[in-house]
Amino acid sequence: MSPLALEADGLRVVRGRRAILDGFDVAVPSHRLVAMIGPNGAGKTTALRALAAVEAPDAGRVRWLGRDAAAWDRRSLARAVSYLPQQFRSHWDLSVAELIALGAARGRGFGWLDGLHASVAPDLALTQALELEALMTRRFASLSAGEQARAAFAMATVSHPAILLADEPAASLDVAHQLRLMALMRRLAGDTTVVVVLHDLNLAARFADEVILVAAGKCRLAGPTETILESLELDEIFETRFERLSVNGRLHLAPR
Amino acid sequence: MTAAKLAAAFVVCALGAIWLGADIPSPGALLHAVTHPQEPFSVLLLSWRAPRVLAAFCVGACLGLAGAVFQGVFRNPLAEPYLLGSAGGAAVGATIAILLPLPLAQAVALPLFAFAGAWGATILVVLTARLAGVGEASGLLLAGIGVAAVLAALRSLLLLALSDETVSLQVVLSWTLGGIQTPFWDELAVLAGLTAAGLVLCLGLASGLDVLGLGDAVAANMGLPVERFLRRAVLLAAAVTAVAVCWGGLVAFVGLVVPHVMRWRFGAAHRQLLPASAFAGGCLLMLLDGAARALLPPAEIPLGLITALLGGPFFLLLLAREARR
Repeated sequence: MSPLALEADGLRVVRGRRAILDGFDVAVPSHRLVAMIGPNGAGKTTALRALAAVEAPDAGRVRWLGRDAAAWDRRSLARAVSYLPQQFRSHWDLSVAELIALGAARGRGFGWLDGLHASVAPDLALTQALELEALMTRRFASLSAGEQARAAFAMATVSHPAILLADEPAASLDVAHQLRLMALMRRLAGDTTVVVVLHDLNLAARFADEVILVAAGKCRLAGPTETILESLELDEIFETRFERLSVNGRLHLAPR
Repeated sequence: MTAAKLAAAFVVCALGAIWLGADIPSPGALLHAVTHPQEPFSVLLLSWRAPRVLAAFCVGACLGLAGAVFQGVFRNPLAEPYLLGSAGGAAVGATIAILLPLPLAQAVALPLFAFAGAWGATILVVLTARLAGVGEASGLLLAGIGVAAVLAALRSLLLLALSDETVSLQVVLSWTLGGIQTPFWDELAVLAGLTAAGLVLCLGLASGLDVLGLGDAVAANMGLPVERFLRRAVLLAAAVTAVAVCWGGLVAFVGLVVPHVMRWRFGAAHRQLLPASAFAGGCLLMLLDGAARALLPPAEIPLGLITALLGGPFFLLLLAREARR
């Protein structure tokens, strides 16, 4: 059993009078690709934000790499945990290269002295894998939605964080780019723990080591991908009867 | 842009601004004046116009810089020292420093009070906008208008209640309309030093402002202490605004227009945007101040009037663009 990269105990997030998360527990082992699935409004995005320390929970705690929030300083936590929001956008119309350079400066501080050693050579393997080489000098706003998603993904991962929390990074990509991005995450999971919110259950089936099933602010099921996707609770939570097929030896879910 | 091009642009604008005035010398006369430094006209150009032109550069640089930082902090294209109330606050501070008998030398009291006023007014605007909870862009703008109105009234009230000698009344009035003070060389050195210090300190905000543009959540996740950074940036921008107001009075819209044009030209990354805005703001204000002297001789048009005439329509254009978005 590999050590835990991420643990959450009894997370509770209340907004207004509604508890978005209520007793959310999860334990994510290191170096796995974990898909977080669940119906709309289940609390996936809020859970991811709490796991990224972007949203302070009203109760409960999160541990990263076995250490409590109190044991992390701001910068080392920033270096260890990278968060990619669902709708990533830059108010400033920066170029792709500038965005990736900012991503490389993650957790290094953004002051006068920090800027002096911030010039980092671009990660060629990453930009090639994401087909960004030709786009490096383009402004972010001039890119298509799919290109923007790939640039944002490069920004979030260029610094090699220990943990990547990505909220539907594949949502605006075409099928080919979806598969390529998932394959890239699969490869990243060699030395990064990846938690990715997915809506496409078949992407989860094909690429994820484990699945976290979120419903009504709780982690309802968590475990190996096949086990969770075979479970009939899935049908109940999504209010859908799934036909479980085997396509080329892989599990495929088709709504009936 | 290379250093040579920058230097050339600076020299051209500075010479043009020295050339502009109540009497515009022919090129021959200008050459004659430069080569004969004892003549009265030469003294006018070198001891009066030259320091004033350089002071205009510093004031414009501070306004461009403060505008770029404010727009960055609030991620709001309409943020500007004048519209945010910082300039108005600085003017109230300066008015108090001039009119009230203080146990401080005025050379010290004036910048200090201007800074306190600028910072206080900006914080007030930000807090009001947050309390009101209106959508960010319009909330700030509305709060700015409200605070600016109160500050202007306060300034007039102070003026009426406290001024007994016409001299200080005139000084304060010229402030309100905006106009570059003609400094002595040692005063100019202080102004230039403060401007340079402001630029250096603001450059330290550059990549933080870039990161802030990715949204508070991503900025925090990347290790930027968002609240602390915002407080520091507002404090710095208010200080830079106070420097501009001390020597140039209330000059509207330069801080709004210049960063926008520079963003179109050089891109949005603040490491280039901040120095470019400072430089272009300086060059622009040298020329506008020259125009203020030259347009209606022998009278001098208040500088704030010229910048408002040119900048106001630009502001409306931006507002229309924002509304369409």
